[in-house]
Amino acid sequence: MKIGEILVRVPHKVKKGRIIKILSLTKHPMDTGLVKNPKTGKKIPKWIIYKVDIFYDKRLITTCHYGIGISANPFLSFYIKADKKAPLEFVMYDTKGNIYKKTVMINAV
Amino acid sequence: MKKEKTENFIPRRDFIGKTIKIAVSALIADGLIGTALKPADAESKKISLKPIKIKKAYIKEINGKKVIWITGTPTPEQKLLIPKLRLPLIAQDGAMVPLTMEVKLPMSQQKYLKTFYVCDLNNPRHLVGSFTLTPANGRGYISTRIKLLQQSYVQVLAEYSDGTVYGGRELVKVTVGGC
Repeated sequence: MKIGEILVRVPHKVKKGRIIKILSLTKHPMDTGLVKNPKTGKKIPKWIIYKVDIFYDKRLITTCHYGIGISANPFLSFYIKADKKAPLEFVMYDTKGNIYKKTVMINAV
Repeated sequence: MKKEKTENFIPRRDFIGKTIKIAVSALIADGLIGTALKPADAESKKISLKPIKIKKAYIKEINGKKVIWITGTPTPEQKLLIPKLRLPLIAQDGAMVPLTMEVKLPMSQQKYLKTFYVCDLNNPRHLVGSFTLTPANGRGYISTRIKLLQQSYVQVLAEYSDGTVYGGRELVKVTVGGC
């Protein structure tokens, strides 16, 4: 897995109007900026994901603001109401300026 | 034969004596080093033996809004509003503690859960994270993993669309900190 890759688990067929659970896992070191490297004695600079936006049918559903207290390889799970057949999009912003994206289709029948 | 024996005996005695001397000198040297190291060891032990202070304070305000803490038995209406957290009793690894928070209030357009704040007063940065939801979520539920430095009270504050904030907290014991 590369850094910034997002894994999402979605039920592959859903009845319309049901509330479904969504699980996601991102690969990221989430360095706090407080830990020292034991070999060199220098501080590892801060590098975290600070914001996550989730869009469903191009409408903003949830936003998460992360501090340094979120663990490495952040895990996030939540519920959504599956109204229609539409894409679910994850957008993550990094302190180094990187943007990670992932889209998943939700098949509401 | 006797001469040989005596000739043999004396070097042996000499050898034993020398070895004893060397051993004693080594022991003294060890002791000296030990005495030199002892105070430093004691200091480090003293530092580690200090009792860890746990901040038990309730968070009173967030973003200029008062937080409501309900003590005693809550009424059925309040039961819907207080956030519930699920945490392990003892977290073996402080770098990855699973945390789920939930509110039983059904999400409707009139009143819904707006934000979850996660706070931990024993960590260098108090605010761990915040999660804003909308009625399209259908359920006030979030689960993540957080880092904890030491044994502490994890506090979750739930802000509703009408501006009221309710709080809930729980104790976690951490064997190895990871912050």
